Amino acid sequence: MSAGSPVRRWLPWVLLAIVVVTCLSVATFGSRSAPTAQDRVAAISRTIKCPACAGESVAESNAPASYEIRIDIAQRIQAGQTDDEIRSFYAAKYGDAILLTPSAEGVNLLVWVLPVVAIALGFGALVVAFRRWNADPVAHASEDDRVLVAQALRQEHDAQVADVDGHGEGSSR
Amino acid sequence: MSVTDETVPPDAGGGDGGSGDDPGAPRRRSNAARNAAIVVGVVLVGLIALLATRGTSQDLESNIVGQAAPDFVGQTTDGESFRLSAHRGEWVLVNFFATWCTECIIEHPQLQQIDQELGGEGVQLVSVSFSDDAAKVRTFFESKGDDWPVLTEDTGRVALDYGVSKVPETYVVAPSGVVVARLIGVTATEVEQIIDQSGVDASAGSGANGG
Amino acid sequence: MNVALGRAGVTLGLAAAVLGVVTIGWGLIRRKPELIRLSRAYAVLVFLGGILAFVAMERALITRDFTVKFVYDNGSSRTPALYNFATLWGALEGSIILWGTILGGYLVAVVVKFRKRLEDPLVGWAVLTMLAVAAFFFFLMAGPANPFESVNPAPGYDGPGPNPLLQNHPLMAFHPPMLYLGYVGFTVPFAFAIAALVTGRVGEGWLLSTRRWTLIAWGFLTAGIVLGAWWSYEVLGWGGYWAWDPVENASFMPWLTATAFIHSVMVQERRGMLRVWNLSLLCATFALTILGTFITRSGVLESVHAFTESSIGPALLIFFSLIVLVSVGLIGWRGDRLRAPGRIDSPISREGAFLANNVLFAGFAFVVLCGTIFPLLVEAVNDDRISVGSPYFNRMTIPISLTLLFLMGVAPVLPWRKASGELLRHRLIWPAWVGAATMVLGIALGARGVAPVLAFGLGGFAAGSAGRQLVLATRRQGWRGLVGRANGGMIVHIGVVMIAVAVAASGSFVRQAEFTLEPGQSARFAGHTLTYEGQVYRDEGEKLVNQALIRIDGTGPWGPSLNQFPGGTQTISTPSVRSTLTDDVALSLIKVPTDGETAMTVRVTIQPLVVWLWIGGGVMALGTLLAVFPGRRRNPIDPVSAPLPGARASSGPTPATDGSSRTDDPGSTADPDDRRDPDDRRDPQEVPA
Repeated sequence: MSAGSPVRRWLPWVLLAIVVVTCLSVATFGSRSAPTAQDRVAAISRTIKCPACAGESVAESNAPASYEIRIDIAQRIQAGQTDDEIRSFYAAKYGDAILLTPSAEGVNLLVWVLPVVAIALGFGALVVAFRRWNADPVAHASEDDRVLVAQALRQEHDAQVADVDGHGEGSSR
Repeated sequence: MSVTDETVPPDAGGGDGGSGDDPGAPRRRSNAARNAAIVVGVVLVGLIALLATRGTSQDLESNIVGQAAPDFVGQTTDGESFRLSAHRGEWVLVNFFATWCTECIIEHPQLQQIDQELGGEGVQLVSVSFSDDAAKVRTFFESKGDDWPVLTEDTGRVALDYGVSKVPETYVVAPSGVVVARLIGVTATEVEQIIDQSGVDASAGSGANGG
Repeated sequence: MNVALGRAGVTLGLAAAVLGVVTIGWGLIRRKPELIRLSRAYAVLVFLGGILAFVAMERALITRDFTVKFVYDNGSSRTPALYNFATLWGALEGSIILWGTILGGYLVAVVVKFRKRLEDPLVGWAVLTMLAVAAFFFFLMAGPANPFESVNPAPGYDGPGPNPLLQNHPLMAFHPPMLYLGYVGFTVPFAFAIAALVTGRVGEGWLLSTRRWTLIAWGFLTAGIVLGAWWSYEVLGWGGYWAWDPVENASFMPWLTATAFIHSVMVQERRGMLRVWNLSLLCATFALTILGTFITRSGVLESVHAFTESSIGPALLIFFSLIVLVSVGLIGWRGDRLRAPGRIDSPISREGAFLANNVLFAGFAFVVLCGTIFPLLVEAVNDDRISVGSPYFNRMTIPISLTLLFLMGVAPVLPWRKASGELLRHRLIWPAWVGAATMVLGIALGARGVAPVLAFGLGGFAAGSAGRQLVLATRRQGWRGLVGRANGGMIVHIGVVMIAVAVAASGSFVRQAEFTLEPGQSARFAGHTLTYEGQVYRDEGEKLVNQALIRIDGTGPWGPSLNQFPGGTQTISTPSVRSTLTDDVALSLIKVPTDGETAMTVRVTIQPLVVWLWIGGGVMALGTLLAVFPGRRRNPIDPVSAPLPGARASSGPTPATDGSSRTDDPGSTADPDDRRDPDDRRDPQEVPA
């Protein structure tokens, strides 16, 4: 590891940060081709449940009902309806269960909030644990421990020496 | 941590190949694990109870029963125009079907019976094809010799207006223009029952009860 | 004949499992080694019972013995040989046979592997637990899900054949067995966890004994899930591979908890910490496999993959409750012993990264569980019906996945205990630049949107740091730098990165449209030209195939089809996919021309990089294989830290040999930071006499 000047040490990282920030801002604000009507149909139909199938979205399913809904969505887009208007039309006809994204109201709020809370609690617990560990001074070996270790090592050493002695060499000490 | 508090639990004696089992931790601990276990246990019991009390899941159902019947207008296979709202004051059965659907073909004789028996008593039957080919539908009805109105053009939209998920589905529209029932596999007796229970005479004319 | 043979097998398996539980249990309680040693015989008998049942059923299927109810319901003389063989696991009763047989196989493997330690109570209790699980599955075969019921078919009877969706692609022959090898494989570590709790030997011994088993099960589960996604992609015909369907989620949840475990277990091996957590993860993994089977089979949640609903729901739920009860009870009971002393010095350390990883994986699993069962909860609370689908899961899991990718980049270069800023700067600079380069490349190729671009960058970062580790390890150890848990793990990481990048690209930049074309007509979409050439109609015996021939950019023709299986009213759309390394064009037929017409409607889905999902899956499987392959017997050389000149790796085959948490970690002596108190008394040891 080099002991160069701080500038040399940090330069690659500063450059890296510039590259990353540039990339991310292009990714966020860069010109994007506006979604075509077809893209919108695909996007909306991924958020609507196929009413006649088990757990598939309208985009995924090959059921006739899904086919009709895809056509209907295309017509509604042509008629100038917004994505939300289209979604609420289906919710009115089939009930909220046709929307694959649960609303963030009432009990439904829980499904959005619970996992976030759980993960936050998990990280919170980690923070608390690290605080506690750090508050705990590093457990240095006590004098008793040192004596014990020394004793053990001496025994081991003696045994080793004895072993060597057994092979006929003189005392190494 | 001194090595002296090593208390080997009685049942931990078995040879473990020397791979270093814990020789027993000191016993002065709080019961964090136990408390956590209790909490987790309670949550899981709730989960199990939830799973145990749920029936099997079902298909989505139309939300439209109890609401005003969405109006529609279209050309029938006979070339005439059919408008639902023009039949206010009559009972109307809006039947969604397709020729590719086996259940619809099984259901068909029941529709014929309804048309014959109740057609004269102020019950209007109208069939709306679903995701089907107009020519096929026409041939189908011609071969059966039926003459109630059948709509084939641009019918997907009508079906979605009613919240149809699978054919066959039949919606019973009361004289007031309100959808009172959604039937899967319609029978004449069932329709008669619904009409009887509603207390509205099928031939009583229009506007008897505003909805 | 087949019925008799099969019933004999089931009875043998059930009897052996039940007797085995009783005998071994008695032997363990009364300390009679001669009884405990019988576990070998019982394990073999259970396996034999499973094999008998399996063979009987396959024989019945192959000979089209319609006197067996299962064959009567699911067999057909028209089904081709491969699918006919695979019919066994195409429906519930047969899949339980597969489960029982695989469990028998694992049982035998365990008693063989631990043949010298059969009397050890730890092994004894583990075998007992496995036998108890086997008893449950053979009980299912004997009662609630009996595959060997006999019927009297009318002469000339021919069955309907398996579900059309299950005889549409050869992957069906591999995906379920892989998944089951994974699911069932988790019985082994679970059994050892239970044994450790019962015997009170909750230290690290049992972990070391089972870690390879866990890895193998995890590898199979990974392969099973990836193959399942591939099957969906090739068969369901909507251009996707993962729909967050309850059954998919059911296989994904144990994978998540198991993945958390194989990371956090390293903390326990090194530091002796996280015992309760690791035990809980193993129990949760196993319990989730059973819960998954329940969800798949009970019909509580609707799913495209729930091919049969049956009455075994309650039995599975009771078994699930039992597992939960036993696990939670034992952990609570042993709570005092499970407390491990010890501390983690710094969050910026390998252990710290593993802890964060675990919070994220557990959170991920929680999101999936929450989303999967939430509709049930809402229905129970206020009788409303709601759906929770892929938009929810995507929104919740994308941030978690991105954070995990970031950790994947940082963690492999982190030393144990703690890391200095200098060290991180030194080790991370190349991986970070790889990540930045990937980002730039993505942007240059037209990728927009924060999430996918971040996924590319972080993926490159993680791949860079895994690659760095592998390069260092191979430089030091030659080909051995590719095997062993740490190195194999890095290869798995590279596979994960491939999948993550493929998911980000295909999910974010998917283009989909429907076209109605006359013969000879072309359409242009997203840079590709489709030309409809014409229609082919043929009778393949087991199905009627209505195929459209379409050229993609002049290649092909590709033939998406609508298949009609006799006996089923359903029409199955089989897509046709042109895969290249850069993008996939999937065609799926919506409507074929009917009489008088000539136009057909086809759905086109164009997704970039999809093929890297399957390649990534393969790399993950390969990495797992290499990780299982025994590494060096010595302390697995930590490619993370350069060896100290003169410092020798301390004694013992594994880092945790001195096991208990109270000693300082012997394995980490190679880290320069760790030597804070060099003991000069060691010198005599180092000087050769």
